[in-house]
Amino acid sequence: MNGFEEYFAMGGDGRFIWSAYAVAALVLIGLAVASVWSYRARRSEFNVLQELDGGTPRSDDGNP
Amino acid sequence: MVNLHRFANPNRFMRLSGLILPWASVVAVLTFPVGLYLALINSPPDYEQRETVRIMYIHVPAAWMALFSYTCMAAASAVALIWRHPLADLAAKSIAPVGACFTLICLVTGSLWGQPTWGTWWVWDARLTSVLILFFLFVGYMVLFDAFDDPTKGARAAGILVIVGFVFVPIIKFSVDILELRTLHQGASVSKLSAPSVHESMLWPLLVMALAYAAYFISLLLVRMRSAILAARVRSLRMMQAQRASRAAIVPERP
Repeated sequence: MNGFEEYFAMGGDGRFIWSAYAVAALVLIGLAVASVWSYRARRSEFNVLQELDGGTPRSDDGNP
Repeated sequence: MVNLHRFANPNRFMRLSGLILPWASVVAVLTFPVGLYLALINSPPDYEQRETVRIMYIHVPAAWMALFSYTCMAAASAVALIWRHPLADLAAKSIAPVGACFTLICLVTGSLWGQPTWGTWWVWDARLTSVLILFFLFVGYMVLFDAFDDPTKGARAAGILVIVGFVFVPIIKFSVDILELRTLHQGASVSKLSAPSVHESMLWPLLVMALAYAAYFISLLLVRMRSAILAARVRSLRMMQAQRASRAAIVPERP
């Protein structure tokens, strides 16, 4: 077994360790992506409505 | 007394959160890789738990943050119920899914750690059961919040649920110490910061991961609150436009 395989085997407990890290990464990344997507969707919806309203888009904080 | 309503202005919140958010997300993005490097490569295996001790670096901060999220959610709900602070309900509602995810990570990684070290995925002891109940409280809060036609009713009912459920936080916190004999779960290792029972080589990855989780929590809380404020603004803009449209439709019909 080369060093890389040995590292991934983690002394025989690799499947537990890597599954734990995979689950944590999936959950954290999934929630972050969903939150940012819905934020962007709402912001563009807000900007469109604001322009329809005739006013200049009310920038909430100057962020793009 | 601190005037809470000074911070109740959504415009001020949008400005402040817009300043904090980039910093918090940069800290999260930078500390996660460092924490992962320390946890997976630059830390020794435990003499008893061998390599499985590496699960600790994602499990323990998740447990800390789950309890912290719940405490924040209960505090925000109390502020909302007592002072009618307009941002408090938004904060509690924004925390709930983040806290639920931390609790889920805590449960799943704990189970994956339990199998190789205890020889079982799950035991119905005080600690594990109370964390499972914590997860159901987060989920219950989200369901109850949206279960009413009147959103203020939903917010109030869900807020009361969370405050009553706060009783589980001390139970979880102290269950390993009080009920040590009745649980498989090990005692807290970082309870006394002056003399923790974790060696430095394992304490550092744990603390860096905890910082990463905390920065992640702040970033997501701010993004979700900003999102909720924008949603409210979209609703009121739509309502204004609908009113104007109906007025315009009615006026020409008059003689």
